[in-house]
Amino acid sequence: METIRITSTKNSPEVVLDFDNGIAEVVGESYPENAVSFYKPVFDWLNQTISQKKPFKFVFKLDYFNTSSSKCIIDILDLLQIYHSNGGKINVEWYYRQDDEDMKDTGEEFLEDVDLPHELIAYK
Amino acid sequence: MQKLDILSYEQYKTVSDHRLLIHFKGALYQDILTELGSIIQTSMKGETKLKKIFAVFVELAQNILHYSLERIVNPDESTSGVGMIVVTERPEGYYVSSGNYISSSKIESMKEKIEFINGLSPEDKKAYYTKQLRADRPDDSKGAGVGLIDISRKSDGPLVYSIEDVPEGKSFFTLTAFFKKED
Repeated sequence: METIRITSTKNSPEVVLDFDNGIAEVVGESYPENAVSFYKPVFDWLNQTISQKKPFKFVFKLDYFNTSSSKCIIDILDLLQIYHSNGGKINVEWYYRQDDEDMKDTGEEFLEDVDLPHELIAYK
Repeated sequence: MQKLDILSYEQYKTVSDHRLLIHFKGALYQDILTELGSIIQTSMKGETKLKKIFAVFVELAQNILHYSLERIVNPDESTSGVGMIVVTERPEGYYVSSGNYISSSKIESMKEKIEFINGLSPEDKKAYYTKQLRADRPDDSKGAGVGLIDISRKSDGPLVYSIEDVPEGKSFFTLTAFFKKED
């Protein structure tokens, strides 16, 4: 499968969906006009990757996201949860800026509602 | 030359005295919203609550974009909502306010929702927020239906709203979030 790269804009994150290396990444700020349509390629990729039982990691490295994006993030986590429960190999990495307690708390809040292997990682 | 009484010194002074950091009325296209957000990011640099204020601004502005009754039709036939958004600095803190037309039939449910949220404890707000994120999207919602609860969680003090009836089954609705300045 070819790697999908969506370039970031002022209100939408960079997205990299790399099947061969087993990495999905969402990086930057996320408040597009329509979050559901923005994240659709991510869900399409996830469904394909999961159907092929590919082990992979999902990286969230977001500085800010609005509530409609957070709904999409929750939906991604719920989909990963189903994969994990069915024996799929998945790891979630939630990055937050060292001084951004809110983003750390949000990550904890989102990940405490699912049972997924994950790491919360501070960066400078 | 004909004198245009659109702008006056008095108005300029009012805006200055109230420290209106953002003062916008018009269609909240996504691009405009993003630029207004950049103004907030730049003009409030160093403010400890900047991220929260920015987040609340985005929720209020996107509420107008998606749900304002007054709409502009774009060339691609999509529509963008029209409204007003104001960010003010006062000695006690910052206020972020939105104002737009809504259908009078939506007033009661809006009031109920805001008063319900204002009555929740921080723990209940957190629980309600995550519950709503997992709930199905309401049919008339382009977002998560959790904008108001998010605004309430990020700001200090209750959500303040006002409703004025205007002709033709419309109401003018304002919503204000407050951010206390830290000592």
